[in-house]
Amino acid sequence: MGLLDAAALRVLEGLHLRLRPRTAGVLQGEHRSEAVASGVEFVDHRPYVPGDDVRHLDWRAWGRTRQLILRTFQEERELRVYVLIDRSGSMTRSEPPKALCAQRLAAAFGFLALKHADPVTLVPFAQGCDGPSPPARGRPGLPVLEAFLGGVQVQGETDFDATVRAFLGRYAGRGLVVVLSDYMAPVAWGEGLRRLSRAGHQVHAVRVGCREDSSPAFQGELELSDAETGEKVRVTASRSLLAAYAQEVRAHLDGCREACVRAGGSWCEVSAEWDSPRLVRAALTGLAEA
Amino acid sequence: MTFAALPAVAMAVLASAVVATLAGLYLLRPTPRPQVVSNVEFWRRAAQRARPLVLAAQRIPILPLFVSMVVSLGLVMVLGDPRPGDGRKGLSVVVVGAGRTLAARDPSGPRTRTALAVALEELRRDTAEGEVVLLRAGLRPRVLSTRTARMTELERALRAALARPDDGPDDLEGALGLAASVLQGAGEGRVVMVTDLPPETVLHASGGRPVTVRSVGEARDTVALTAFGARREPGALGEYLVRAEVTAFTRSPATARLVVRDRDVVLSDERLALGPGEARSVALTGFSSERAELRATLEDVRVQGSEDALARDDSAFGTVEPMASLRVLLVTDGDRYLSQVLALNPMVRVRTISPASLGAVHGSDFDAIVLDRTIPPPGWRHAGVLVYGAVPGRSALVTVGHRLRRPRVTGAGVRHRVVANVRLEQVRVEDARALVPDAGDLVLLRGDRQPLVVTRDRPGERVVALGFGSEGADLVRRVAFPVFIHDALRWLGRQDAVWRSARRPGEVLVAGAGAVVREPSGRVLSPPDGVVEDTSQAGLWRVGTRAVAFHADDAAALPAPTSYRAAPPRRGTLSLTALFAAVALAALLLEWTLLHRGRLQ
Repeated sequence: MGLLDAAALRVLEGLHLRLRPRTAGVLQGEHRSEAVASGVEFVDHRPYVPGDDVRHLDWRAWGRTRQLILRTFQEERELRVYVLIDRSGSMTRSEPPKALCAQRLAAAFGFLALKHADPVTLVPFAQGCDGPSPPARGRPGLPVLEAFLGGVQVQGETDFDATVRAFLGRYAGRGLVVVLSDYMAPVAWGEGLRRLSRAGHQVHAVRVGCREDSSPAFQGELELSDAETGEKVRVTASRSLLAAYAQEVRAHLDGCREACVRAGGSWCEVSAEWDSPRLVRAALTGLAEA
Repeated sequence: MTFAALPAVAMAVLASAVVATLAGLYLLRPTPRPQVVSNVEFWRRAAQRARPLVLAAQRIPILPLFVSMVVSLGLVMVLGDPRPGDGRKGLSVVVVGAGRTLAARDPSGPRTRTALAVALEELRRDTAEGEVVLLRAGLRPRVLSTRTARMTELERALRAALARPDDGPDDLEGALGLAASVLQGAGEGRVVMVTDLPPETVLHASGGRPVTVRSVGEARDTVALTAFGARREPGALGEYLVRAEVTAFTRSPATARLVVRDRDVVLSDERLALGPGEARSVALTGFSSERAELRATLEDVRVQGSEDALARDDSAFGTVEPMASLRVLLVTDGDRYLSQVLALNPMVRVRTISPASLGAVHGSDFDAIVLDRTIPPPGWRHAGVLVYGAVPGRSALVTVGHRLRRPRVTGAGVRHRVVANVRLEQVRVEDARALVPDAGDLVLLRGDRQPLVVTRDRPGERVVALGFGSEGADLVRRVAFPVFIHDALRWLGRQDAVWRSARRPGEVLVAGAGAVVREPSGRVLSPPDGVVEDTSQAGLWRVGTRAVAFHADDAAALPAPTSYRAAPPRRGTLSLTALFAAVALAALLLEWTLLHRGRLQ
């Protein structure tokens, strides 16, 4: 059985990605792009300037006004979908693990891309970018992606800044960048998201959370061990401490969300404990339409 | 209770139980549960934000733990007494020796320092749970502290007691008697004696209580002035004889210079070579009609392969009183020995009469009267009479018993000024009469256990009686005869001051009301009643312009003059330890209260 069950697939069948035009690729596809004059769908008229393709001159308008008016068209191009998957140690927490949840979502985004014959690239990351998933086209490419996701090892520390630097250096084409992570590292996530946006990508941040991260039900004397670094901290889990922790995590996530929105991206939060349809719907909020 | 009173086995059991308890508590301690989280940094920040603002509400467990540890430690210190070992319960009487030999120097240091350390050790053990009465032996045993458990008080008294040992031997018998009186009715108690007796010495206080002897010091070599005396020569005007005895208590040959001075005038400076254990007597003469102040010292003492460990016995002191005249009436039918011996001394003015003329003479004109085989008339009395060759008679001053033929002469072992310079037990008696002493009379010489020489000292009457005359014994042919006669006449004439050249340290010095007394160390005393009881220092004491010598060559134990009266227990003062315990207990209760109010973790 694959990462996506039947219920999730049914939900995905009725959705398709909604791309902002400026993020479209260079190849023709099913998504409208900001590129004009070479497409088939009329957009507007504008005065002719030397160098324009004379084939797009509107001779009828010249006949009426004696002015050279150029007809512009919107070009439909393909959408590149990049899915950055957090595979750091913190993603092992929760039951089911947050990593599994992230893989399912990555498969969902891949399925939507493949359904429209868009190229999709899955890039696991921790302290940097790992190798991308193999090329996959069309619906038959889904098992390829699922096989790739099944081979991802979840471990290591998170360094999103290094990850973004490596990603931008490695992948030139603009597209949709989906960042799947728990965002449970007190680092400058906002800066990385801004740099992705400045590079022309459409950023969609999906925070994969769990109950243990947001509102843990700890009690008594605890020796907390960091899932990524192994660092240990001894605390006495009291109500005030749990409240302070929840407040601390919430403030951090709010900061990430605000930075993401300010960078022009979209932000949504899911929980690893949710079932697949709910998970998929929530992850595609603002990004997909029926 | 205290730990100090527990024996070693009990201490070991207790310690094992404590260790086992601690180990159990350690094994059962609530260990923190390991928990893996996505990122501990958020928890660290949360813990910092949730930090309590008041100590009572703190969630850091180290503070209540610290408070508990401090309180527990304080209680253990106060209640348990951190001095484990074989502490003693009940009352302990610690007797500290202060005899002359304690001034010796051992290889490890001054003997007094060792004694101090040992005594302090004993006191610490005794005060752990019990109480202590501290006694000082020395020449005149006395109580140094009342019944107490205060270590500081005892230590102060102990240091003062050992600051300067006496110039004489310890009166152990007196000290033990005093200790017994302290322990009387005290229930559980013991006597601990810290002195330089041999370790194997076994002593018992009265009442059968065992005495634990803590021996300090060891056998050491010393060269000592073991005897020193001086007296005027009856036959030589202004002359006095000085006799000194030097003994080497050493295991190897020794040399020393014996220097005898009269004030600043050196009478003798002689180097003596002594074998191990050898005693050497030195006799010399001096001349002075005034008072002689004699000081003998051993200087440049050398012991082969060793050293002179005790310097205190290298000095001796003596005085010779100025010459004084004595008026003597000799009543005799004719005894040329007596006549000649009385004529020897130019300071003695003698008048000789027959017994028949005795009634016509005023006895008050004479300091002493010699009755040679004479029975005075009935009712005749005189303040000082020497009965020479006592004969029976109803009006005789001394009751005379049966005749003794060649009796075996023995001394009576009695010290008396009349026989201070002679040994009458060496006299051979051919014919004598036994004397019957009255109550209070003192027998100086016996023959076949019968009194031969008797002295009587009553208010207004002094008598020296001999049961033999010049023909019945060889006394008249001995050197001791003039010395004995003149010493007896001096005593009868109440010229006591000239009798002895020195007194024993510890003897009471009667200086007279208002007199100023200066110790050999230079300290000036003004005893209100004119009596100085503490004369434990050897040397020349000065009473006004007069010098009184004290030296210890024949110092003997003196009876303990004091008795112990238990002091009432101290009340009203809160000790620091009790205060500390109260504060610690209050802190513990406060912590407990806060804990139960839920304000502590």
